[in-house]
Amino acid sequence: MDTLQVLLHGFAVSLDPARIFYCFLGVVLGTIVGVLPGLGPSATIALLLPVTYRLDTVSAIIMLAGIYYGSQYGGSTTAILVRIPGESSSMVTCFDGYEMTRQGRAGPALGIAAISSFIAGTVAVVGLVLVAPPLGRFALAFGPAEYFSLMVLGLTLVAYLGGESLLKALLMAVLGLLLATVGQDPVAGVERYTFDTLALRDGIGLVPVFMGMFGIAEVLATMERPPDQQRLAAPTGFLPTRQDWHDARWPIARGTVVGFFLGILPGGGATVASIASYVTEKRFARNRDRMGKGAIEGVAGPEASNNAAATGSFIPLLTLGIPANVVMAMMLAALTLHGVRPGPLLMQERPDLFWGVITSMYLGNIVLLILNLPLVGLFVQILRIPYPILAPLILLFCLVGAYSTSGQVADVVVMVCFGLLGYLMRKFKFEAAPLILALILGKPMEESLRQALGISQGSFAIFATRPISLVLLLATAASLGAPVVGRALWRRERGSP
Amino acid sequence: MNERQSCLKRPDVLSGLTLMGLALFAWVWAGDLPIGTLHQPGAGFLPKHLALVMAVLAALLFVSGCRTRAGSAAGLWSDRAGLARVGGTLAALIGYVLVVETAGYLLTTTALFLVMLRWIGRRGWAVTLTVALLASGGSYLLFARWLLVSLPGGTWVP
Repeated sequence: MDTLQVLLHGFAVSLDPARIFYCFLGVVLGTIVGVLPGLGPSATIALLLPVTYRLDTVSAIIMLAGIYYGSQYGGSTTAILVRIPGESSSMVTCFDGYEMTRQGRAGPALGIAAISSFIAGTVAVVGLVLVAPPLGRFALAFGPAEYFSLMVLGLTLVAYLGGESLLKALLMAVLGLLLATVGQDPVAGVERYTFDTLALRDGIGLVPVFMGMFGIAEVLATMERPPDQQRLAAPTGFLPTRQDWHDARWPIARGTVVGFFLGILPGGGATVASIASYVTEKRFARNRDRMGKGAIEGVAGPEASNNAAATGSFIPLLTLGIPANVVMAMMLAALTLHGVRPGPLLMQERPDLFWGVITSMYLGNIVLLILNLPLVGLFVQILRIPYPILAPLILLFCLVGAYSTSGQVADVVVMVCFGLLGYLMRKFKFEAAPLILALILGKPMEESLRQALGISQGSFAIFATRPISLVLLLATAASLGAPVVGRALWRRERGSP
Repeated sequence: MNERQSCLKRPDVLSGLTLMGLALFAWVWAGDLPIGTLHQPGAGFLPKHLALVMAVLAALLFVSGCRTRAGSAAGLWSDRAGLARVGGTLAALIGYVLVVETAGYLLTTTALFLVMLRWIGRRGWAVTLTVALLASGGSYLLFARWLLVSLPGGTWVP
């Protein structure tokens, strides 16, 4: 069957009224869990797994997939309005999204987030249709050495996330890596910095850290201001202006490409994709000097990127049976529960499932856009609530979000500690992003390093002899060297008569 | 003497010192972990090396902080009333963490709202009580009943 034929077959499967309903239900649930901090798509899919057993396989997977990509839409709402990332992949949306809110531009920020998510989600589905099998095979070529090199490349993004001081950014990155070593050592299982507490054995949870460093720290910083300066600027306009569109079109395109390719790689995922997109915009956006100060590029790029990544992560699952992240592992569990073994033969054995799920994503993205755009006007009304009333509500969301990740008060303690740390870091002009990026990459980086050295029997040559790893390390060197060379050239030019 | 005192009060100097202390703590606490070799790293390899790098970077920050003529760290908090609100919010959060498992979600959340709205936010009793009851009851219904999130019930609940 050619692509058009299989697509038509897919649409015939997904446009069944019952499946449209489950797709709708999935994306609505996804939007809700995306908006609510702490309650992530993996927990929701785990909760709903037993329920889906009663559904036919295609409907069940369509609904669960809708929860995942729907959550990427919802995650940006709280990030933009109150600086709490609903999902870890919305973390960088906080930077410019919340600044736009403070300037009374919450409406355009939410609008561009929904529209860029829609464009990226739809384009990524087209990519999924066209290049799924070859890209899936490429992802299979990634072993521990390649992952380690990819993580090292990812860490170089710190240099661009650090704000004014590179030294402070590096310090925060090292602190993040050190915090990532808390918990059981990934190879030998030895406990590190757990202080004999059960709660720290699995390491420091990302959700409590996000809630603390963004939500709690923001509340503390706002509460410090005199009451008449606490109120956020009244929202003006609910949709992006013509200028916003003009500024956002290339960031959306770049974010879609970056997100799609990073989503395919196991371990990459929507969070790393959104950070990579933000850094890309910091280097290439027309208004890059305004990044972090309410630039629409800082919302459009990462939001496009995390949605494209969410769709891209289906490629290794459906074509190879390899989950790219925790949510995809839950999807794999759902498929297995329904007696389906994803892999290279899935396209031949179950074309109804493969193409039905993919075409349902077109439908889901349209539903999400229709659902999210009218809600922009409703969401911005939240900003009319006086801050002394809004503050405890934000705290409540953070407290429930942190508690619900593991059902332990220890996670709430971690959140409060990171809230205080985040507040002090703001005071002393340290950026939170390098710490969080390092915390995300730290554990998989150490695991990959030690696995790769185990495979090579302790030889570091493994990183240089494997082609993909070598290319990634060269890219790392170029990424680190470019600013230094650029600065040297600039100084020489300045010094020349 | 005065110059040294003012140097120690500068924000970057204080940050450098704190981070050096943290690096030392991380190094000492990782003391018993096997470091392994470069080709076969042990559980202590990364923590100890990171602590070392952090100490060096923190020392650089300390030195650069001493060299620049920045104001005192105390100047970062100019408003005493603002600092009191921050302290009050933190105290309310710590109190919440300490009693939520014993007193349960509903009671503790209501108390958090009372403190935040009445004493920190300076709202009237009518607004305080209405928002506190609506928020704690509504969030309990949303999370515990509809979304089936397990919230602490309190040890006094049979």
